[in-house]
Amino acid sequence: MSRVTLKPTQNVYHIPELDTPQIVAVDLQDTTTEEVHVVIAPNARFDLLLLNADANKHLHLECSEYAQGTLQIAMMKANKNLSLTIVLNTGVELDASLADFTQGKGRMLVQAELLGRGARLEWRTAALSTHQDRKYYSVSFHHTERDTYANMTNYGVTEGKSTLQFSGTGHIINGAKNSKTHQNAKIMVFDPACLGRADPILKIDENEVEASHAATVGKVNDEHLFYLCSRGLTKQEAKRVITLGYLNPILQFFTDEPLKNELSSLIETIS
Amino acid sequence: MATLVIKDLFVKVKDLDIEILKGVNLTISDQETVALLGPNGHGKSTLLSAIMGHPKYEITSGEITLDGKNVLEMEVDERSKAGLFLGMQHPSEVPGVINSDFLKAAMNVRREKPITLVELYRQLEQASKQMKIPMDLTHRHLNEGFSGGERKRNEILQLLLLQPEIAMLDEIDSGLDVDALQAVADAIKQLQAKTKMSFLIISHYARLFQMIQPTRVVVMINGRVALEGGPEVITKIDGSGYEWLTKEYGIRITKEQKGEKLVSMNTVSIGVCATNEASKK
Repeated sequence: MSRVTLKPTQNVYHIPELDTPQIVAVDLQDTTTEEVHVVIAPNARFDLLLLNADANKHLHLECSEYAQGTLQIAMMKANKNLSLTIVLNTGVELDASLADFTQGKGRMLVQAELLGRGARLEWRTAALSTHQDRKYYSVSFHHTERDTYANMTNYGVTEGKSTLQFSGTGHIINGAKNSKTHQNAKIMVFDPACLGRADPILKIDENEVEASHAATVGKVNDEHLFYLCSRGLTKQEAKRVITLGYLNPILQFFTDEPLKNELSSLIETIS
Repeated sequence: MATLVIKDLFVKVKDLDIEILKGVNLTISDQETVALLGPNGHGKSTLLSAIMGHPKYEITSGEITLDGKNVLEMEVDERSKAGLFLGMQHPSEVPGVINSDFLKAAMNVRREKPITLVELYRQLEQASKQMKIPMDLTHRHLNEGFSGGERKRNEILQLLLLQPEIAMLDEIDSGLDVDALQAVADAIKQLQAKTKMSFLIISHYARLFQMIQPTRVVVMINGRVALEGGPEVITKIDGSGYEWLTKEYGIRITKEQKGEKLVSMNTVSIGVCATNEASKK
């Protein structure tokens, strides 16, 4: 699929209903204000690529009724702060993936408002934290209408003296019957000096719902290391292979080939 | 042709301070196929794992050398590169790691030039065919979702590709159906005929040994080599168990040592349900 880069009109992007499938890229460096809006037209089918999402902006992504598509976010800066609010109206289906393989520190705050009936969101994060990195991720789902669904899968690897924290919140308000909110966080801890932390939170004010959370923080499995090493891989190589295995799967959700390659080479360069 | 010498080896489980091997002496060379037998919990698997360098075990005294080189000073990967191979009883599932990527990496560490993709696929295809493993299994994650039999066959596939000097196989025949057992035995027979590989093979069943014809039989009891002999020992054990050893040789068989099973609980790592579970060691 080819990529087109949209230009903003007064810091607002409009993504229309497209005739042919195309990747639409939005580069936040093209904007002049801190607040940026992206509005997706009703019924649109889209693949939205967010470039320079980490440019210290606050982005509002509004998905109009029955829009369906993907959101692909790659963090490319060393010091980053992302603030993203996603509004999902009736019947919206959004599949969002965020990859963060660059060194540095930052706070990434994502808030999804499931406002419309039947709105669905799939959220994925893959984050690598190395050296002195300090990365904090907060993803929260706010279910305000019936029949909404949201699921997050956050995977991370922390090495060296770095910190990686995943905080996940699922909130279903009273009246949002038959809504489902799920979350799963997994952090692999490689070195004694690094810190991995996962905080799952569920706030449920309605009875007829489904909600779950799972959080796992653990060191790399010694049996796995032994197995790989017993075939001749050094400990370092074995750890690398395991890290790749942990983070690489997110790449399948990136449909823009150049960006995918860039991300892939970022993972490849890890020690 | 390599020679593996184990001298007066004492091994204990690191965390539990339980001694499992109590003075093992064993030499393997000359393209031998050594059958390693013994009751459950008497140190067979521990011996193989200790030779390969499993982190769970601590060598308290003794020596292991491969062609005169001190194996105990080597890292696990160095032991592999030196020519040792351990076909595991329970091969790990490693999520995310693609089987063929892993095999490529394992093959490349023992080559001067990296293997070409064409060559890799030629070898993979041939070995998969031989082991009756569907080729698409090599593109899946390492051992993840493999059946018990597929995992065992995958171990032999690795053996075929890596061509070590000494192949140690830990209950490679358990859980295999008749066809898979035949494929495993055929692969071993082929390696016996065409390479200079020596084998140290643990099995509880005479069937595999009938197929691959061991040159020597070693029986381990109470953490020691209690008896060495020819293939007739297998027939005897298969027919009348281990009790006859007590009668004929006066070897007392102590009860199964539970140590190994207790330890496996300590190897649990990822899988801690953890609100606020900070990553402490």
